[in-house]
Amino acid sequence: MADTGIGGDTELATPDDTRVLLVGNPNVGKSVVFSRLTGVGTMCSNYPGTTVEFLEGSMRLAGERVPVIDVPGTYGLSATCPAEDVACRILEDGGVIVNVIDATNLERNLALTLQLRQRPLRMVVALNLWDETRHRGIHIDAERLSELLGVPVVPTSAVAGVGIKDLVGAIEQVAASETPEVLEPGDVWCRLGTIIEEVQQLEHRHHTWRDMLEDITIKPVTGIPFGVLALLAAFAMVRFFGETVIAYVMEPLFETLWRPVVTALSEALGGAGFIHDLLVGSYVLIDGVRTLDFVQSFGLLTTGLFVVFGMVMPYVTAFYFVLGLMEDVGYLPRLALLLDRVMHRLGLHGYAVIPILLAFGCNVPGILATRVLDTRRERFIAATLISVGVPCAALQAMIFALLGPYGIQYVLLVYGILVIVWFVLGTVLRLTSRDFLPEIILEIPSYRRPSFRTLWQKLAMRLRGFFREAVPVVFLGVVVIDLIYMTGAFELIARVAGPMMESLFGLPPETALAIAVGFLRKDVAIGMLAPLDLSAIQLVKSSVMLALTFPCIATYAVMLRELGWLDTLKATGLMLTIALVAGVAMNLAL
Amino acid sequence: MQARLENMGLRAGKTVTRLSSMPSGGPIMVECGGTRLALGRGIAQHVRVREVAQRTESGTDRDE
Ligand SMILES: Nc1nc2c(ncn2[C@@H]2O[C@H](COP(=O)(O)OP(=O)(O)OP(=O)(O)O)[C@@H](O)[C@H]2O)c(=O)[nH]1
Ligand SMILES: [Mg+2]
Repeated sequence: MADTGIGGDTELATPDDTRVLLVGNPNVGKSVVFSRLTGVGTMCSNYPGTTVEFLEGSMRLAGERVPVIDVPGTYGLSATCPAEDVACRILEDGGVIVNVIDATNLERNLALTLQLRQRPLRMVVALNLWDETRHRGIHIDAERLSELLGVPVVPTSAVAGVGIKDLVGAIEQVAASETPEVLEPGDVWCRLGTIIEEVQQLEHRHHTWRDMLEDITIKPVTGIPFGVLALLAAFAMVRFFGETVIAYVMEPLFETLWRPVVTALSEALGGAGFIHDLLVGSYVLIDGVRTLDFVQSFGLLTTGLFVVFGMVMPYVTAFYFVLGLMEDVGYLPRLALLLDRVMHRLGLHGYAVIPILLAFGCNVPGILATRVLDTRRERFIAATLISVGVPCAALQAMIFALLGPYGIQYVLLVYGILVIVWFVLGTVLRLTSRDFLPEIILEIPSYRRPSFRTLWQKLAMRLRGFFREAVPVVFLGVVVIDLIYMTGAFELIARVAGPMMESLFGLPPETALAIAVGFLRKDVAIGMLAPLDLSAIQLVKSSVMLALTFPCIATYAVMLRELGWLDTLKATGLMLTIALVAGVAMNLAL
Repeated sequence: MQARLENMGLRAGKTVTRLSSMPSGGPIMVECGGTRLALGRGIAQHVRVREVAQRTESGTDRDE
């Protein structure tokens, strides 16, 4: 579920003089401008480092289609960290630069603008977040700024779409003209001071809701309780929404509308046979009644559909809604600040909180987001911790569904065990990395009122991603499981792996198969546990084992791409070891 | 490192205000020229500041 969309690698397209590059500090609205210019949906959130990959789209410019590239945010052109390095390299290959700057923070943003102006580049400045300047009593003379910089300056409010037409006009004009004279090299900071003085006026600011919220959320005394409450509230909201939708919408829909269809189909297919079992699954005994069950029958049209729509989707939707809210308000960087100490125990620093939170939705975007971390070492640790110990929303939804009926304490037990495993693994990773002391340097953006439009767009994009990637694999999983049962391969696996599962982990042999299927998708794998009549404790154990062992195939693919095969192999070794140890420990302790 | 902090808005001669500091050697949060930054204690220790009234002003902003 790579929700960062198009264009994977840093090597992009061919050098091209007509292309348009969106360049600027992190979190200034480049991605919003990008989607305004190209119509391509993008991920936009209120924290630096939302975009970690180049995204390519296209726009009409003077009657021609030209490529537009959304470059990951950068603070400077001196390549002081890998992210900046990447941004610098792309500038070498030509194109028209649209330098997006944050009008509420001219001083820092113009530092990059001036650095850009010392290179022979055709460029336009988009003075974004123009709407915010009004609320904050900031007055900027855009015309004078344009004179001083020697390039067009266009005020924009990208979220509302204001000023985008003018921006396109300015791009057209610049694209057709010669490269402007570069500013002679000199002291950037000195020049910056004079420019600011000339173009910007500040009104006295009143205390606003932002300042109040800021104070409460970052002072340790109030911030830590607030953080705990916020996370608990987020968890409760997801749980409540997910559960309610399942109980009052999805289950009734499936029972009243879909069951008759499935039953009719089953009759038409003669009630048994290969095709029958593949499509509607096999009959099971529920409370002594022989019936088709949406969870246990394992047909494409029963379990396949129900897992996706009836069990997982409501939770995934709720999770992404709540996450989107926190992202857009701008709370995540504060959380990074608060949790910095804790993350140090794991050999990481606070910024890693953001990729890890994303991973609770789906590990794939989480691992992609580890690109915001500076060193390879940190990225390895974060990706390993994510792939081993962060259950994705689909897996969590299934754990809720299966364990929930036995009582919330069992669900909490699963999380508790995962947390312990996490800290053990994190400590091992921290201690094995020599001379390595990560330190947080993170810009904390101001709180913003989330825009309904971006929230909705983001949710829709993520859900589309979920359906596109989850549905085929869930179906594949169901087919594979059916085939394994039908061909008798199951007995073989159970005979080979069974004794080990039994003696080491105290689990029935069938769970070995679930763990193997977990490689495809975790939600289907947990679904396989449903017909096994496991005790609550056995369910806890096998849920933990499923969470810990092999990440699903999509996660593997992204790990290979991001870490290379050697580190992926190392992560796999660690994962197998820790799963084994945890499995045995649980067997002894529970 | 110095270049990086400068690009992020933390520069010699600017006024920095400490907004919060986490307990037991945790990071601090500062404001400087309209930018708010979270900085690890290790980094923050290398930023030299001169006290100005109840505010603090960074004198020479140097690391190491
Ligand atoms: N009020 C207001 N908010 C905006 C405007 N433009 C962008 N935003 C918000 O600013 C935040 C950052 O926008 P992004 O487009 O993700 O920023 P970016 O420059 O792509 O950031 P990175 O990908 O992290 O480099 C989002 O929460 C947007 O909704 C604007 O003109 N006005
Ligand atoms: Mg972006």
